[in-house]
Amino acid sequence: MIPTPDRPRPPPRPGVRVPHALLPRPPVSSSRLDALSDLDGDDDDVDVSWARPPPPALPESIKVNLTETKNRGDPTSVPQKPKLSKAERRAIQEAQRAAKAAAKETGVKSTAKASDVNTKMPKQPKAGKASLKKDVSQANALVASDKKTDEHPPDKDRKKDVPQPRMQFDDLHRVVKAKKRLDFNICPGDISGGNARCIAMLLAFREAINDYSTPAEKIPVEILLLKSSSYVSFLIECRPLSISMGNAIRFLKNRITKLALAMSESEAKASLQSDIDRFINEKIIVADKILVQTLRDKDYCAVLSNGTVYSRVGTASVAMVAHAFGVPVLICCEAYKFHERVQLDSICFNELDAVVHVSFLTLLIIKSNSCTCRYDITPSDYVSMLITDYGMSASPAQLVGCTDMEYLNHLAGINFNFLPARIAVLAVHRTGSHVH
Amino acid sequence: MPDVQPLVSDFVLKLKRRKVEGSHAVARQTAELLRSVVSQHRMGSSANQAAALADAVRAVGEQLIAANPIELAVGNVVRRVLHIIKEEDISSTAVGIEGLSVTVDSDDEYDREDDDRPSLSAAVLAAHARNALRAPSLQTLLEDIPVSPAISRTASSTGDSDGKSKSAGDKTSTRKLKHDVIAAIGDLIDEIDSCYEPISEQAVELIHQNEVILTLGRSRTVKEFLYAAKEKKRSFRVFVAEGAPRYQGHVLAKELVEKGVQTTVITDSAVFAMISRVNMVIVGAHAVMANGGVIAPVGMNMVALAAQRHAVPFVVVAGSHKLCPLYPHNPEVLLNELKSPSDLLDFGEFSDCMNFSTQDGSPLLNVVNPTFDYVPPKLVSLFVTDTGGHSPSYMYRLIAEYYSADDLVVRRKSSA
Repeated sequence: MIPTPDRPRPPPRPGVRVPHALLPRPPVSSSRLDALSDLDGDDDDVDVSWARPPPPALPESIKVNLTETKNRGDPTSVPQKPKLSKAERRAIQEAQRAAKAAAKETGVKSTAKASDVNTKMPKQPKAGKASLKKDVSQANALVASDKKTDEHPPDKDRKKDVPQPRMQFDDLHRVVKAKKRLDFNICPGDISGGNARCIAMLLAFREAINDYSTPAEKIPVEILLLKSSSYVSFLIECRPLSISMGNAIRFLKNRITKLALAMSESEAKASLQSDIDRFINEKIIVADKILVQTLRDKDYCAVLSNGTVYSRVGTASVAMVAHAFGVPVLICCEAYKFHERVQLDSICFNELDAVVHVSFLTLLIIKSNSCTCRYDITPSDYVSMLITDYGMSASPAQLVGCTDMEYLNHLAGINFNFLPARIAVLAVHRTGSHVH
Repeated sequence: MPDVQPLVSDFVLKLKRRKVEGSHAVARQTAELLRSVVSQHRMGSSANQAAALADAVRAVGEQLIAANPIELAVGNVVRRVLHIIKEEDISSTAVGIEGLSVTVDSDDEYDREDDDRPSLSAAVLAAHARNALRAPSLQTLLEDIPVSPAISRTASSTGDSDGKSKSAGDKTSTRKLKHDVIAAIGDLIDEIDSCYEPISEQAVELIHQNEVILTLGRSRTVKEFLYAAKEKKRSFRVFVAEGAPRYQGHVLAKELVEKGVQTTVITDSAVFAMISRVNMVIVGAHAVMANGGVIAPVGMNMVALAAQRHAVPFVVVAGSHKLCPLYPHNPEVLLNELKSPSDLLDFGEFSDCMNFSTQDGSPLLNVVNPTFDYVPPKLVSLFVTDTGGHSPSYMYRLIAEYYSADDLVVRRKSSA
């Protein structure tokens, strides 16, 4: 084969990858590991070095304060704490993110956090990123980073004066590192696939809960909700949430609010962590196994409330042509990806994908947008049948409607465990068009 | 025809090896080759000069069509030339029959022969034959005597008999026939070359202001069409679907940007997502079949379906040399060609999957890389050709104008 210089290489097919190091190690059945390894793609290039204890390469100013204030609690400044720590945290986050971007650019994948926190938020790393991220999120980040530069010097001064906020800082620092790692994997699209992203996010939350330690008088629930909201908004800044992630977060918040007040902190943490583990296991992994393996060809698809399928770009075209030639189209989708939103066309809610594979010279000459969306909408009349872990239905809209109600009941905590056989019966009852 | 055979063999070889790209180039070269064939043909003194000439053309045409059956432009041009020969023969016969009166006014003929109906003169027969060759129009339908096929046959036979009797005028008439045919083929070549102007002139009627246009792959006709609209200061932007696996859309995008057209390159899979924001789809074609169906580069059927779904007009621009008188039977298979899988896959990565030495000898991995797609006529809103804009249901009328019915199968007639 004569190599043609302009022939674009096909993009590496992203598998569903979950970094092994993020998986919970204690009581884990071998079957689960196997399941996870099924989902695992090539994880050689995912940096798992963060799983080790944090390296000492921390900014000098912060390091000094860390050791002395680790175990101190100061009740007097409690009301101030959330506000300060949040602003501080955001500043640190931006600095770390910028440093990460700079490090990535120079090709050094360093686990060290911002080597120099005092550096101005460089516009170059952000602008120089090759992959097209959402311009909105970039603009936000730039704006935020500009804001934070101004706030940062006063924050640092305040840090030296007021030792109290440091108490939470260490935990936050590690948690934030975990999320950083997660987000830098998500943003360039390293973790791709709705399932993998959801699992990775839930595991990061799990770590956060693990590392979290309640200040004295505060109720765990409030703090946890507050923190989870801030984590979520941070995640959104990096990349819009997928539908599965949105549902998972809703579930998590629900569980948090349901925590009994009488529970001690460690009990609460253990209960939340086990909830997350079960969620991952039942909703995602087992659901995948229930679905017909041979038909599974998409790693991301969600079904909206009017029966339209929201999945990777190109699905709609394939479904349309198959429909035109009378070929049945089967959509396999886990039930937890159902959404009550409706959408009519693909442009209203979408993400930009990586640049179309054009030779560099051509791209320079074109000087125009290569606009590629990541997802698209398949209208429900192209779908012959929807197959979920709840059953099969020839009318996707009906199934989504019925399933959502049941799913919401599940979220409310009425019945967490479900058996596939029972759900099949339920599907028959509700949709009336169950096909074995 | 020993002189022209090497040329024919050369061209046959080029067609077989797919060295000639694009229907425009193929049509032009075929026409030039046939012109050489006609000019080299030695007109015998036997009865039917035209039939002998047509036969010679058919012999060459058969070889050319067999070399590349997918390249329909070859067959189109061959049939056009055969039609030209027939037409020139009819008109020269008519002239010969009537002697000195060269200009035959068909209308006068009709007025005069009202009382002559039972005995049709040879001139009238010739006029009828000529009308039969023209596209049926309302005028001819109302005024014509409806015995055209029989009349045309008798006209040619009377012409032959007359020609046979006039042995003295043979030399001049045969030379005139050859001369006329060569001139007409020259006209055909000019028509093929200049097909872009009449098409581009219609651009201003179709493209207004603030239009969003979608196209797939790269078509020179579409490029000229959009250039003309840009010249006339129409405001529009273009989405170019890249057209995998050859990615010719990138080249078109570059060309459009050079003229200052706002262009966006999208993948083929994003067409359905983007088409809701598009006003019009304008595409080129490889060939247009007799039923109005379109043979187009692969991916076009998907674009046409998406356009239909979103009620977006699907406009096909094509020169008249792409118009084929055949009806497409199973076009996805019979009018298609599978290209090399190297466009899609890297042999290095997949060499072990392509292993032929398994038990039953067939590989587990198949790669299908078709060249063309078939778009049924119901998905096409408009054809823009050098004769104007037409709906798909009108295409058969154009065919009747350019081709004759008995040339559908190009085969050398055993009887000279």
